[in-house]
Amino acid sequence: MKCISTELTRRTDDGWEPVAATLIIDVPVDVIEAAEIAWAVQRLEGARRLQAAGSAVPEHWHWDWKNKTHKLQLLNYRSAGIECEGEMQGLMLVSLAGHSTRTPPDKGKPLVYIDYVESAPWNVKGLANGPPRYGAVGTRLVEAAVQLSHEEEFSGRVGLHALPQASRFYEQTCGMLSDGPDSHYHNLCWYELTSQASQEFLGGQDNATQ
Amino acid sequence: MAGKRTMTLNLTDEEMKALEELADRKDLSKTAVVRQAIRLYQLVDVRMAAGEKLYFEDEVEKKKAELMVL
Repeated sequence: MKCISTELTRRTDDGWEPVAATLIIDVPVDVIEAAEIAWAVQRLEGARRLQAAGSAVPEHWHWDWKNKTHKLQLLNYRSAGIECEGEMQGLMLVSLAGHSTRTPPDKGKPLVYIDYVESAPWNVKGLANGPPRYGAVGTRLVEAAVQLSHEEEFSGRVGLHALPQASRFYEQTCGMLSDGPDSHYHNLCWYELTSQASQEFLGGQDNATQ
Repeated sequence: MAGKRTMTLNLTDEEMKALEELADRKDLSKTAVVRQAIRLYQLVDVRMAAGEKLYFEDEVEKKKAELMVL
């Protein structure tokens, strides 16, 4: 487990303010499971609330991190999490082998594949019972994936299959390119961050937090 | 990730050539290629031991062949 100081944003009456957070690489399984326990009830309650109101329910409402941790027994998978003010604010599971870039100029070269990434339900508009509490969770976790990609000699390349409701975030906030729906994976759109785009993404985030 | 350990790897000329070609094509060091190979081999081995099968599929030729892994 490695802990790195980072920053999220916290909602205030006037808007958002920076708040210290910790990025955890290789989150212990018991910590992931504790986060799931803390998230599960709010995720389900939020989904029921939205459904009762006739609103769109987040596509990941049924996720259960306890069913994903078995993958961490394999070398192929690593995890990351963001902790802030004593609570886990986001989790990510990545795969390091078996996926490669689909677009030129690096087509066929390895990348870090984001298998799952989720922000705590109280940070997700709609799922939260009130306004979302913390921001920038997804951004910090995608940054962590880029850093892992550099550590693995993948030049910052990152890829994933996006749930439709998350596509805008990957396109507009992260600068990922879409290869369109993948008929081999539930027709979810394939997105990837090229080496060049990952530099711009990290640079843009540095500027945003200054 | 845990600390790293060093080992000597004895390869034939052909094996070394294949490793170097892969490293060049994937833009990785030879160590990174070996690391990727171990990850994939472990993943495949565990999933096949659990009863899953591994296939190569050629969508153009409409061919599908099961890959046997020792």
